[in-house]
Amino acid sequence: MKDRVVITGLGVVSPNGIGLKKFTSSIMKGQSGIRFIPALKNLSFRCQIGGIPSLSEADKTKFLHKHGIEEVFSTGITYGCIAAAEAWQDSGLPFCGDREDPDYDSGCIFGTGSNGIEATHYGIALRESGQDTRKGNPKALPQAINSAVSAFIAKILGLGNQVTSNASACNTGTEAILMAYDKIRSQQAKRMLVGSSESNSPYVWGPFDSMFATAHGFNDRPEKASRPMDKDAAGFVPSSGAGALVVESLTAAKKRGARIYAEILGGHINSGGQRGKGTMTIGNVNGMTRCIKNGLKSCGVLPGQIDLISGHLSSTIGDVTEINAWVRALKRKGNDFPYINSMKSMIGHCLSASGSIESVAAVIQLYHGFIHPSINADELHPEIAALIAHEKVPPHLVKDVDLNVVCKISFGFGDVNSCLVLKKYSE
Amino acid sequence: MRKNTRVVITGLGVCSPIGTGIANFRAALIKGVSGVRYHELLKQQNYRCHIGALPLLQDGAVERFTRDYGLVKMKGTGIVYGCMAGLEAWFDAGLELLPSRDRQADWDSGCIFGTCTNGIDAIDYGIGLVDAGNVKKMGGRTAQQAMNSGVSAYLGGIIGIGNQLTTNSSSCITGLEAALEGFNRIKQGKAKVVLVGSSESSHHNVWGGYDGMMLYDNFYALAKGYNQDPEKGSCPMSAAANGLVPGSGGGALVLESLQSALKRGAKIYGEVLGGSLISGAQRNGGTMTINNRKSMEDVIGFALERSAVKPQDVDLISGHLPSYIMDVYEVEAWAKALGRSGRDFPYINALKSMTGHCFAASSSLELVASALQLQGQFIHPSLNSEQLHPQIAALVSRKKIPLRSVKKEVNIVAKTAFGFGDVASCIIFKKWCTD
Repeated sequence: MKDRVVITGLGVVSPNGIGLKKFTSSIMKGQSGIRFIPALKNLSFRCQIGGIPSLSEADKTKFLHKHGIEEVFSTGITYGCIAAAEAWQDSGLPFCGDREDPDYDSGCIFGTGSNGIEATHYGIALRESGQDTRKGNPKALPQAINSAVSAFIAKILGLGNQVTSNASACNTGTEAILMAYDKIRSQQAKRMLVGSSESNSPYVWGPFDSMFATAHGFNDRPEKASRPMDKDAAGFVPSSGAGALVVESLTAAKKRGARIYAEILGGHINSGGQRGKGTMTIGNVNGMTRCIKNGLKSCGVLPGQIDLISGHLSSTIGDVTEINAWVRALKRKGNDFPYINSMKSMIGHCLSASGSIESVAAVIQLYHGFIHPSINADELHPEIAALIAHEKVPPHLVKDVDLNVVCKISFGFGDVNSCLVLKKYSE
Repeated sequence: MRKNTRVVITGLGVCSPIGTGIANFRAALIKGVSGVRYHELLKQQNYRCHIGALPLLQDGAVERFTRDYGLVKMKGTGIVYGCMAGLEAWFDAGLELLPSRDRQADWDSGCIFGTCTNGIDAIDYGIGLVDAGNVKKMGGRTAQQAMNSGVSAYLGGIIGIGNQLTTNSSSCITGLEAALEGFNRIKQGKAKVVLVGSSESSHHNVWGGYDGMMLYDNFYALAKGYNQDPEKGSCPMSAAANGLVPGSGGGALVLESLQSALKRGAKIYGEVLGGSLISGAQRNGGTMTINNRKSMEDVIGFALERSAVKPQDVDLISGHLPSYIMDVYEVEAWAKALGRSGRDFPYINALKSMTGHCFAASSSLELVASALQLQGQFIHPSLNSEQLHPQIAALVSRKKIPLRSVKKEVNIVAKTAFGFGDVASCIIFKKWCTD
């Protein structure tokens, strides 16, 4: 019989809170982490607002020093390492000493889309300044490689199983969790530190600004800009951060008496193939619907059992497609539709980091029994209003609710999807 | 894991410094040619190492390819190399592109295509515009080329991939890791076909970064003293090996469940038996840039165990062998893990002796070479290994490191790859036979 897979540790670096405690209180309050960013105005960006975790230079240096890391170029790598260390500690696991052997039972899948961008920029600036390129910082290059974040995490924690970084655009974080679930189910590892992170950099956000994907018309009202499902949603708010989870076999977790936050029942990863109405940048409703259906089928959960959907819901026209996919897949609508909320309403779209930060939020809600507000959905987009009741999109905290099954979904460029099915843990 | 599901290789594709297209690549392997050249640009930019290996492409080949597949003007060379290799493998396997009018994707076929720095060309372009306050001029097609998963996203759209579509990244083991991830997915019954591979851009910033980097102490990463003699620069296992020669390109394999391959009557290059992916955790001698030697040995043992292959059954080792001290560590790891040395040591060769080190693309190119050697029952030469490093000569008989191709019966090929971040990997291929 295959072992069950559970979540035993959480860590987060989010624009509305660093650390589990601060993040939990922020999401309960519906607190926005979106701010006006003067640098973006100076660079003539259309969208001059974004989400940046408020990590002080002192805290960053203290963290890196504690873990023997000399210099990190990328904010995404720093965020990732901080979230990973928090999750590991939260899970009650020891940090393997410098002289100990690697822990071959524990690995890491920590994704990113463009963490290397700062180190790459460093190299380009060095070349273009006409300075002697041979005098560059030798520590820069390894950080330009996409897998640098997982390599740093493995060093901090002493991980000896597979150590890698996945990338599937904004689908990355949720995909990493499902890939780790597969590793543990197939007994290739006992536990995996999983997650994803994204740098805060105008170079990451620039391309999205240029393609009109980001929010326009809200530069003077940053906290109102990310409004998933609302009729005035006008593009996503670019953001940054990291989320991390410790995913573990139930046997290993029980053996060390770990606290269990939730069980991963299953899920599905697919692509819409950029067919039908899907393109490189627009998700395909057929692919999404199939992803949800197969995710539920993989673990025998019935549509009626879902209590809460943690949506991808990025505050674009994609929100309509997503709600359509849910209604088609679950055959539930109106008042019968499950509760649904969007973490992006508070923190914007953390791109690669979004799936993992939002999964951390989903697990927190499941464990503590509440539903965080989905802010700014003041008046539902008419096509969404025709499908689901407004009451199912809570504008305020829903307290003391008995959540049993929560679904988390993520989509990304390339027409890729993943759906994760989480359940409250019981013997 | 479904024990009864077997996974076979049914298609190959390659875009490499010694030849683009399987036929050219095979001929170059047999002949033993070097793809390493002198590059004036590298000298002008004041780098130490002025040699490197770029894919051999005919004039206009990239433009023709991008036009044929409606890819507009691509900034990322790595994305183009990956798409070229990936589509060659797809067609080589006898598979077809899903018509663009279809509404449903090909749900049973996935794609795991890795890279380290494919986005670099688009990022370079974007940085220039952002710094100049011209972000609006970037256009609508930069984001998908700058993001790390650009290559898999483009392949997915061209083919119509409906199963998992992703990009993995684990420095120089990326290609091998992609193959093992694809293998696992088929083995678990989650996909019937997975296109796997990896690619690396020919951007001078990729190579420039390595040029300035020290791997350990004061040892710079790239080959030294070969600027006038480029073809000799990459000399794995040689006493003269003193740094890697940078390269670029793309390699791809179609992995498929045996059941699906037999049903389609596909040709089969070989069978994937299994493998292992681990990390030395940058401990016990391991660092960000040098591998933990115990984990180099352990990964071979784990791979053999998972594949149920005995050490004495390994006929050929397709090494990582980047052409510096790591070569010695690797041969020692093999000798210990297999308990074999001297004349009893298996044949061992380094594709990097011909192609240089194509970083993320290296191990997928080497897997393509491994599959071709299995299918053609030959062993390609390991160039420039005339003067073996004394610690290697003490462990391996000269005859087992061929300077010219040899016709040999090859039943089991074991391939290792190691990478930055102290990651280690090993995969086992077997000659295809019907029993």
